[in-house]
Amino acid sequence: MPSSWQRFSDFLEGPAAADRVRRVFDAADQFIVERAVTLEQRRLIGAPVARLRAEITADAERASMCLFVHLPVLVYAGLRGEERPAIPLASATTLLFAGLDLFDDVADGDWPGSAAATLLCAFPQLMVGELAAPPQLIAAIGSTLARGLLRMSAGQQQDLSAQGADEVRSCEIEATAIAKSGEEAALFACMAAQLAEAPEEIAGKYEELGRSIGAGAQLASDCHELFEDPAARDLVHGARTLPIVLHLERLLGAERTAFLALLDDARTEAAAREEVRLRLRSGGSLRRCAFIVETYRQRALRLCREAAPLEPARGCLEALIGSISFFP
Amino acid sequence: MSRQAVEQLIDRWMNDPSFRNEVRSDPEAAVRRTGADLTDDELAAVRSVDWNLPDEELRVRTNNGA
Repeated sequence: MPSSWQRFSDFLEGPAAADRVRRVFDAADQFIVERAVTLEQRRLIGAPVARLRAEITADAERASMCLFVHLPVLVYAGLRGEERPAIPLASATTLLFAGLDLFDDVADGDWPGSAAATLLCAFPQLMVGELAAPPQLIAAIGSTLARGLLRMSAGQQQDLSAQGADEVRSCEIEATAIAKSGEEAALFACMAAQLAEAPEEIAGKYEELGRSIGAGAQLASDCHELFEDPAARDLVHGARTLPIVLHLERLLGAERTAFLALLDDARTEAAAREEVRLRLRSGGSLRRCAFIVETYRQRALRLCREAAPLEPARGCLEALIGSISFFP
Repeated sequence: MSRQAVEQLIDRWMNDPSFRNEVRSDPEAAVRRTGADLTDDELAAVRSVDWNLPDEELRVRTNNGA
């Protein structure tokens, strides 16, 4: 059976989507070349962006689902009927995402923290400041960007504090997914709606749409990493993702203690990781997660209907929303 | 509260074969008969989920997100 992405790939993987990715990264690259203060800064900023681009263009599924490229452009196009004016904003959100992505390397000591901070806190703001829009609109988008970064930072802290914890509830995991990835996509969508000068009520619907698809995509991605990714980084790092916490919530006493010990073993032993996967599947955690992700998809679809975007952006947005689902 | 109702529904689906058959035959009617207080989005999810899908198929349908 095809994955949900494959079922929607006609919409998302076509030449238009690939061209969108190319134009957004080209504009981001050009901006880095023009604005970096030194050649060394250009290298430190440009290399991770080039790596992100290479990863995305090598993986058609990931390319079709990268919210930082598609969401701002499609929201704008849904409101205004054209994509081009939103390309610089999507370049800004791409640089912001590259900065977030780079923090993993910084934590591993593989890249200087100043590069990630610059990507996150200087380049997107510069790009927003130079958008072809009236000054008051640029100021409003800049405020939205700052508020979004504040929320995402708080979500990241929540996420880190849950690592290795014995007592985490599934509602807290969902709240963290909303606070981290949900706020990120909400920010992308809201800035695009503001740039398109959408009425506040409609901009709010797009913002909520972004929050739902971002949180749902994060939860779906956590399932993929746990059940399908051989590296199983979340298990190795002791992350308490939704399938694990849903399982833990149903265990008591000795069973719970034994499963926590198994999770500890899974940080270093491949056989323990496989046993964790087996128990989660047989205990129904994957099915519970699939249903929860579906509720985020349905919420995003409802908000999309209410926002009533123009075609063809509407079909692309619905396909982007559908791509998070287990049930295309 | 609503999420708790969802959890209970899935638990019942996992553990009660006759309920599982009812859901597979008519998901929305089966869920409504339980009296579960679901939101419109959750009811829409009940309708769009493929309740016949085996676990192994669910696993390969996970995607890498955004």
